[in-house]
Amino acid sequence: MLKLARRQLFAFGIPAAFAFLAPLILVLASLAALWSMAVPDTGGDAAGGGFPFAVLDDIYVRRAISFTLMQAALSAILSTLLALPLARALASRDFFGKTAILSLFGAPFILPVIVAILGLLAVWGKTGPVHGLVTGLGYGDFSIYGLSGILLAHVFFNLPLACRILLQGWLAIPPEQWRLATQLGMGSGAIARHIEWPMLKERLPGVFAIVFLLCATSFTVVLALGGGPKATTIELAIYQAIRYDFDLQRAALLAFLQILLCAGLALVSRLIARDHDTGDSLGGAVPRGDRSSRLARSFDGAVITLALIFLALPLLAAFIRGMQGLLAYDLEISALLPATARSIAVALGSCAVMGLISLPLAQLSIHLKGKTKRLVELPGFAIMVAPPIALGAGLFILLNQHIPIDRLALPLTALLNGLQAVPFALILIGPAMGQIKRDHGRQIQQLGMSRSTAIRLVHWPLMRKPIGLSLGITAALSIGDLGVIALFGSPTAPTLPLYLYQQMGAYRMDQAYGSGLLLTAVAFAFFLLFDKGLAGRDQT
Amino acid sequence: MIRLDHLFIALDDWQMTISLEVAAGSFCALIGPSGAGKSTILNAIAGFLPHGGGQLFIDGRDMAPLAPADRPVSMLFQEHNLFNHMTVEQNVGLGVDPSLKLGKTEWLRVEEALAQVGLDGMGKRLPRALSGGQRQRASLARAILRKRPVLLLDEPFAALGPALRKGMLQLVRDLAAQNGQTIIMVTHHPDDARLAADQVALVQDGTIAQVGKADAFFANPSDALKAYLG
Repeated sequence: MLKLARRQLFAFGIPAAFAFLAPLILVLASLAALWSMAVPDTGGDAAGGGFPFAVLDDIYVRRAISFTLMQAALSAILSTLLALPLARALASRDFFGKTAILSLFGAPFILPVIVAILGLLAVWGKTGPVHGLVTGLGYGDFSIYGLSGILLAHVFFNLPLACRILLQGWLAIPPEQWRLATQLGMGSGAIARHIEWPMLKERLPGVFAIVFLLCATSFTVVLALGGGPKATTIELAIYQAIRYDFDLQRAALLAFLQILLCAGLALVSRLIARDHDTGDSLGGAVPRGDRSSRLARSFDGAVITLALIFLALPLLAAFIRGMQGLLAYDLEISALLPATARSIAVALGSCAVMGLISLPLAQLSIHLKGKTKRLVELPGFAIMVAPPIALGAGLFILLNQHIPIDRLALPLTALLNGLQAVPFALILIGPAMGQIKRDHGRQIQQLGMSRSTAIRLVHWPLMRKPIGLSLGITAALSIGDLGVIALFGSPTAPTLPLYLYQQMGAYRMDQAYGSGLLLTAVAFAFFLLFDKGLAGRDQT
Repeated sequence: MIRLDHLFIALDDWQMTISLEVAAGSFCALIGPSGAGKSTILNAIAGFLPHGGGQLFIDGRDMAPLAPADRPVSMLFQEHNLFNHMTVEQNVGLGVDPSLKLGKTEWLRVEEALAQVGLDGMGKRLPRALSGGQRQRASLARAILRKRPVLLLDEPFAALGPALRKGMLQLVRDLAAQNGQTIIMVTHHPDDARLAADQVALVQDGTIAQVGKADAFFANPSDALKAYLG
């Protein structure tokens, strides 16, 4: 028995302890570094005047905080409000190509953010068709840079997400309720009040919270479309303090604030949101009779068409201008190839980090019960409340005194990207692992399968799908990352997204679109490689 | 013989103490309301739950120190007896070697076992290509190959129609008689107990409320049994 226990410790306990402690230690060390930098030891309160209050005196910091909250709130409100009619329309109608549209809704997740921004620029920018139309009709000038552009991009990214969650809600209403509504002769108003509103009341706060959280920590969008004193978020201010001003104290203060803000937001959203599956079974339509009039049908059709145009046009534009860019200009192979290689190396590193943390954590959580089970969620929570830029700022301060930081740029990016993917991976891997234990745990014990046999015969065949998907998402997110790498990266050895951003900065837009297409291709290739390659044929 | 002597089983928020004797080679049915702890008794005998006190003997051997795989027990669950990603013959082959490294003669034994339960020629199929009854037959074939003296049935036929269920019960009885196995079966249907069991026990509120030979059990119902049967 003792021998068995010891073997189990090595096979199971040590990876689990590592996976549990590593993220926590990293976050805590980073927080400690931020704290010591933000509040220099002045021997008393003579100079400081107390940490939180002194910071709030800084107009620059105050602006960053209020802009962060304001744009996140507006983005969340807009995304949620626009998702309402769209989800209702998609729920009420079944038509050819609906599944294709719904998979398109998943695309912004894999698509590198900076490429989507290129697409938005092509459609909504100064030289794009919308700008031409609006100014041509004499409705005055508008710019995609600043608050309006940030909101536009955030709605572009989050409308599909919000819509999927709400659509799931509509489809989760039991068919009996719709039949009952028909039988009782309920009109649209009564249906909205008695059937739809109770569902929405449960889901809307969660949708709002998740979009708010995503927008409050969104970096790339603000980097590309914001900036300047009027449109700077805390994340961007951290980046600017480190890269431009090398004001580490301000960076540390801001990063500390950002983590506090995220922790608060995460706690609030925990309290108001419930777990909802955004599962892929989004087919079919609800059987309702109240929306069969021609007016309702054309309204739904118009909503779906507009959303499709809004979401697909930028993707299409990015693709076309990317092809033009690749064909019309000589490819700078000597720069593109090494940048691509760096991105791939970072992605593979992220995948390794994600796997090393997620798999043991998922295993740990299914073997524990009750309160200790909640404890296992701590590392994932720590990762969620310490956004990569803030965490990166802490590591920067921690390591900067010892090592030239750009030498560590790629490993650090891989580490932080990998950690970022852990919460997603846990959502995918955890339930699958739990289900194996529930369905087959006793069978495995009864048959006396050894650990390695159980992995070979049961766990691997049943887990390769979620593991493949997790690795695919991790690789795609990491290849497209323009957050951590912007903070650490050296201009002379950029990854592909950083190289693209340099091209944008140098106003070589056509080349940038070309690089964007290449970047998208690489990200999708790795996503498919892991998701389809590893997952294999569906055997169950 | 299976002997539970004040076996104490504690779950998260409730507990039960069970004493029960089942003669070797006989068929014992556990009936009773859902939530009474019928399945829990089987899980404890199979070794999936830690013993909290009391004793469990099978053929004179104390079971407490034995892991599930080392106990002389095969258990059939209500569902998930088969791995859906493995073929039927692979699933059955696990009964010969849990790491599925089988030689030619072993595969022949798998085929024989499949023939015994009436699944000849279906070995290459995946479980989803079988009907519910066929899937439970395949699990039974695996139990045959494991050759354990005790067979525990946790309502494996509950989802089948009445005729199919009767047929399966007959098959289980015949196979057990051939191999000299002792059976304990949990069931929701008192008729199943009347049909197949030598001995019947009523499980209620975490204890055995009435136990006896099948005929006598139903002929002289206690108040608890009257209340349960309605």
